[in-house]
Amino acid sequence: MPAHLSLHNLTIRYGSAAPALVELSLEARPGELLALLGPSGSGKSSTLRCVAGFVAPEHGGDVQLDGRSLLALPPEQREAALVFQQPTLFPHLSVAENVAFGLQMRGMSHSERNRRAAELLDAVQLGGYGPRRPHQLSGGQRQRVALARALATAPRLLLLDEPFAALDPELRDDMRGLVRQLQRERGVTTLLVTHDQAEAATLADRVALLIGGRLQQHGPPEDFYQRPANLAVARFFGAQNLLPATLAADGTALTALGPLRLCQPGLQPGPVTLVLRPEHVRLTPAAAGQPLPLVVGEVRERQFLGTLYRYSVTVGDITLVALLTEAPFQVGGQVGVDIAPERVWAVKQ
Amino acid sequence: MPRLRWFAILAVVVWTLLPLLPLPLWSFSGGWRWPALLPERWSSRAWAFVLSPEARALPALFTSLALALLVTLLALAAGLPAALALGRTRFRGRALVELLIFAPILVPPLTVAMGVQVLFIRLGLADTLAGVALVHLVFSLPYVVLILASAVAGLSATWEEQARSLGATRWRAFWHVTLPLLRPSLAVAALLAFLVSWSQYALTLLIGGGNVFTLPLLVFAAARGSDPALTAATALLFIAPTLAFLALASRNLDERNGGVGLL
Amino acid sequence: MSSRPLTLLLLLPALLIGGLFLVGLLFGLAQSLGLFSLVEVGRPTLRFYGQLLRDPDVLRSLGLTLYVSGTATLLATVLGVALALLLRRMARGAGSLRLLVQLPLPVPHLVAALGLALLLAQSGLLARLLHALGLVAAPANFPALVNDRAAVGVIVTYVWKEVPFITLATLAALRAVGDELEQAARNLGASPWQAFRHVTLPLVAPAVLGAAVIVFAYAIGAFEVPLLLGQSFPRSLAVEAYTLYQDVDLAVRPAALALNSLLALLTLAAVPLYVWLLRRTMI
Repeated sequence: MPAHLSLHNLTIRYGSAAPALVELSLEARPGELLALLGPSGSGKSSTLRCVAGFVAPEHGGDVQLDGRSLLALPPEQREAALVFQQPTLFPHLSVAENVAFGLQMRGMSHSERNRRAAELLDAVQLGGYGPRRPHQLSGGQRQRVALARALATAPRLLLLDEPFAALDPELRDDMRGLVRQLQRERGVTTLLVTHDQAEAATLADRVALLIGGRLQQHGPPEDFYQRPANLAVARFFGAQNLLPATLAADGTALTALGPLRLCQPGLQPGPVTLVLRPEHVRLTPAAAGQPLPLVVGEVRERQFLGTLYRYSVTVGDITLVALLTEAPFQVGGQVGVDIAPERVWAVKQ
Repeated sequence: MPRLRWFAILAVVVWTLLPLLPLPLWSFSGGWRWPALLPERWSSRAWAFVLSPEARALPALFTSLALALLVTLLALAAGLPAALALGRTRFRGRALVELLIFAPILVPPLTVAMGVQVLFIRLGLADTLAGVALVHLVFSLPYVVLILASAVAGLSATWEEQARSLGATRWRAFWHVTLPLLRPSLAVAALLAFLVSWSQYALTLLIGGGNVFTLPLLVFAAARGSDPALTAATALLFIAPTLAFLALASRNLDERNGGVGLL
Repeated sequence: MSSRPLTLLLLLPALLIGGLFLVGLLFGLAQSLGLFSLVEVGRPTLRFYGQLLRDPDVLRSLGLTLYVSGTATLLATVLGVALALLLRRMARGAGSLRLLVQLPLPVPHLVAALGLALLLAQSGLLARLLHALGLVAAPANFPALVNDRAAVGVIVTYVWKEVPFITLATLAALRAVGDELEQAARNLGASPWQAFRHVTLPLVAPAVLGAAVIVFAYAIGAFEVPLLLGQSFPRSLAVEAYTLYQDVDLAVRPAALALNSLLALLTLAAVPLYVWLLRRTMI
């Protein structure tokens, strides 16, 4: 039975400094992989350490697993296994003994332990590596052992603290795939701490974005790109086209590029910032005979990104970034700029 | 340039070995007058005497060994907890605690021994092995704390957290993870504690009052005599276990420290 | 994670042992003031200190002790650091030379002094070697290096014993600093000497000085080496204090303890310096 984790009103403070985390309430549904995303100092690691039992929240906060509070339990009774950024394999133990460590702590017999360790090592594609010492393994292999060790105890929660950050890029993708596969197979509710929004987006069922100790937004990854809750979220997810605008009562946004009629529901009139994703900025030839574009700009820069071309276009004193699959426009030339109003997302300023 | 370096290396080798060289030569000499470079006659007379019951060397060796092992054990038992506190936590009065614990590294044992002697006479600890062990402990402990505190400070808290998240209690995380990680440092600390006690002359003499008869006392008595062969043999008997202990400990250290034995 | 009572509990055994050290110092101080005397019970007095400081022999002992400790510390530090740099530069054979260099560490001072006495005496091994080379005709032609006025034997013993100690402290500090910073300095145009002088040396200095302070304090308070290899007058402070303490006339015992307390004060003054250096080394 996968566990249901809920965090209530967590505030964490170290000493007298500003709180690392402010009144966080969040849930991880049974069997879900929830990414805690944020820049350094956002409170995401504090949240993880609080769930693991190494930091206590301030009065009024609670961590519950299937409705039962964990706060009174010491770390070892929480059944929340950690995988750190650096694979903390115990150097004095063999690979198999490392994987069996948690089982040994639970008093499981030697033979049963060995059987389980071998099974888990198979699962992370390291069958036969049991007798080796940690220092004989590569970085990627060590991290897989650390994952096997965490899963060996069949924990109710899997806590991953930047587990891919120390790996080489090609290993990172393999390891991500392995984590996702094992996490799904075993249905273990998982918290993944990461600073990489692409990683959160590709791996997680849902994402919670923390900035400055406060939860900014949570939900499926697509939301963060298409419907950011505020300017900080949009910026963190790499929004490059941020256009100040004033929203009229009829839903028309008045911008330096001209009026745009937005389709976004529930908007209040007043100053807003429009978020335009670069892939939704359309460039057209600014020649006679073409349908009239919204505005005409000048191409300032063209960069080849590998699969796409990145164009910088200035319109007055505004610079817009567009991503195109082809490169028909020359730097210095005129280009028509079109924006589909249904693709524009407005956030409060 | 390489020639200069080879000269420096040769100088280091000669400088290190030459002061010890007369000891084995003299210990096996049966007669060695000026200006012979090597003994004119070889003899095992000095060794035969040193190993005979008459010389009291073997009981002294045993006393020294028992004393140094006892002191090492106690120094580790008292030093490891202190190192855990100093290496991990910040607390008020920490500087004072450090001052008190590390002061014996600098203050001469003799100055403390003369003060302690009056007290120990009243407590009945003077002239006893326990009393001598206690004062040896005062001067062994700081080295143990020094080595272990910096080792503990260098150990990330992540190790114990990892163990706890896998189901180890605080005590089992310490026992199964922290302690094994500290093993190389424990070996160095034990070596230093042993050496401090083993080499101690003044403290043993004052507090033991000749009742606790260790090897350095015997070596000193021999040095006061006029038989260099006997002195040399006694001195060699005295350093043999320390060299063996060093070889043992440094093998233990080689795995991780790449050959640097001490410090 | 640790709570305050736990910290105290962990420190307790070490503090008790430290307490014994403190009690020893204080009892010594009390006796030097004429208290706990076995012959008379009196009020505390400073007269024993007055006697000492007016005694030219004691001042001569103090001078000798400072000269011996200072010279030995300086030589051991310079040679020890040089040896560490040599070992660091060596590519081949560094391991075995490093092991050999450590040899004096476990050798007690007592044994080092005996070995050096047999080496440096006027009829010692060194004199015989020089005789074989035709440089020394008779023992009397060889300079007196043992029980001599310049205390050469004592100083050489300390230097021989303490060089590896300084070397290992320096090597450990060098390893902690690493090569990158020196390489960065070289890359910015520093010569090898400039890179060492302006980058590496300042960074290893606390560790080296900390070790030097230990050597200096040890040499001030050590007793076996000057007793065996020093001349009979003036004697080093520690030998002087011990001789007075063992005097059959118990009335001179407070004087012995006053001398002793002076020694303790001399070395205690170095303790805050040492702890400060230690902090800078650990960080």
